[in-house]
Amino acid sequence: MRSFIVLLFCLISPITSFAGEWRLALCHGQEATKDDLKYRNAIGLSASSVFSAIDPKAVTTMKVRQCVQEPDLACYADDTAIYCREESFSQLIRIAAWLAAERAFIFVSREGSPATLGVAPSLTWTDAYLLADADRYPDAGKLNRVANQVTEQRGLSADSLNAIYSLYLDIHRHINNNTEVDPDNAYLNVAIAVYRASLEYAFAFLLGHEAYHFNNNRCHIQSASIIKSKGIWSVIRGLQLKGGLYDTSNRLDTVELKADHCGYKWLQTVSEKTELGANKVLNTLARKAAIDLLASPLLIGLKGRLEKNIHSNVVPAVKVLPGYLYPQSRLALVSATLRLTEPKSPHVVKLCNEVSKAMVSIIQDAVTHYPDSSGIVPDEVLAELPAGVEKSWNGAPWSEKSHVCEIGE
Amino acid sequence: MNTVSANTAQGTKTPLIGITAVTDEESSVVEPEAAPGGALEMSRFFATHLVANLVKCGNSVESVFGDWLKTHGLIPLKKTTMPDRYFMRVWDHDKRGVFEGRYQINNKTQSIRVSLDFYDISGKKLVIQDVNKVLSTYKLADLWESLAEAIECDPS
Repeated sequence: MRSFIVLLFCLISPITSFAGEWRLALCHGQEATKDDLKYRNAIGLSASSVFSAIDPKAVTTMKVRQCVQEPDLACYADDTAIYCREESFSQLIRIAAWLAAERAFIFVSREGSPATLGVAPSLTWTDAYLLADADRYPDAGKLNRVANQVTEQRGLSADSLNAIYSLYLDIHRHINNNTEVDPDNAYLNVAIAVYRASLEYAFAFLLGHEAYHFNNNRCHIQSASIIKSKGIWSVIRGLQLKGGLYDTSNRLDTVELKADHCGYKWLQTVSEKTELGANKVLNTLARKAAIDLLASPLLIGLKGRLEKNIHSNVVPAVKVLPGYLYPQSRLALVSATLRLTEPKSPHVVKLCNEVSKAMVSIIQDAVTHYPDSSGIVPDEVLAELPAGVEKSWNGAPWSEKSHVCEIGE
Repeated sequence: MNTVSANTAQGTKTPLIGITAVTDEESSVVEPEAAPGGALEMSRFFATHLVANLVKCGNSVESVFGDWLKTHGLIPLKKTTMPDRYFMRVWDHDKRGVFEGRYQINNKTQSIRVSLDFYDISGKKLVIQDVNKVLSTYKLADLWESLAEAIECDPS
């Protein structure tokens, strides 16, 4: 069983920066709900697992306190520690569990066959976000309202959603209490495998970025990233410079750029080391789930909101961070990293279905509002989207099929 | 007592704005006042920006500083304008210290930097409350935004 050390914040030693010890300080605001504070074990397990994958000799120390200064974002870091909002990480944990529970039903019902990967999930990344958010309140009414909305919009029966919810609760019960899973419980075993792997991918990127700052703005991984060696990094970075696709008014800060690049190196390392048993489909499914999971913190933030557009579809109110790459670029690079480290089915490890719709909507919106846009979506971005998107941008009618990732692409 | 002279600005420096532009993300040149990093630090006015090209934008920067001085009724004690650099020194409203604005192209390091520093006449570095007061009184958020835009002016 993996373990980590939890200390009170006052026990912090005077050592600063990385010295063989990864320091994660969780803090919560006064408005944190009881539910926000119950995933400490889950956060610690995923964080320590990522830190161990990056440096097996390093120690992970986690500290908990009330926020003295409340970051609006999920995390920030300096040379004393990586500071993260417990509410935000708890939301990430809940989203991961919703996604994993639904994907487990898809996987088990198809007996883990490759056909699993061609199924468009009924529960989208925004559904998981809304359900996870509703579940943080003690009043069950909010969760019921969101559940009704999801069943109506997705054609999912109430029984199916209840079964997913039941599995979601089982994931938390086992993770929070460190209990072993019955090996005969196929649904729970698959759900926990997808949950753990997808969460570790998400933590790898988020903590890798912050670890760069904690480590005095140095990346713990020296080797070149796969996205840089393939030329994807420079193309996507260039979209935000003069002559590119996006508005240059959000100027790129080199420190944040390098911190992000470090996050992608961490993600690559964890992805290359993750092996969920003999079934390759399960590995692929976990990488797909990680993309859906990371869509929330990157596109809208974990304290974000969702809005209805004129077509009554839920679209993200995109959270742009000054100095950073645009959210759509950050998510495209997550997709590229996971796709390029996927050994079996890279064609389906990309921005598919509802995430593809969100990406298309965000890219089109960004281009429409930037008169100096080059208007050219480069191949490096198209490679992360389903083939149907390029066809539709070239004149084919838009449909659900435009956003489906085909196994045989 | 360590006093400041308006002519030589020998007080203790409080950096207020620093923007360094580079074309290479891996450049070793970074804004010297930048904090180690993290989202909270982004609210401070020190950043190293990646730009597509380094362009001589001295005129644009001088114009931004000029507008700022005019808005706040400040008259420079000293001003130097060269093709690759600009410098101005000006008393603050209360004559408690002087501001120094700079623009410098560094061909050797392939970088351009624009900055605004404050020298307190008492010789003390401004404490955070006073920094915040200076930020709001002299609308430094607006100045930062204008300088960040001016440093990568469009030569056309």
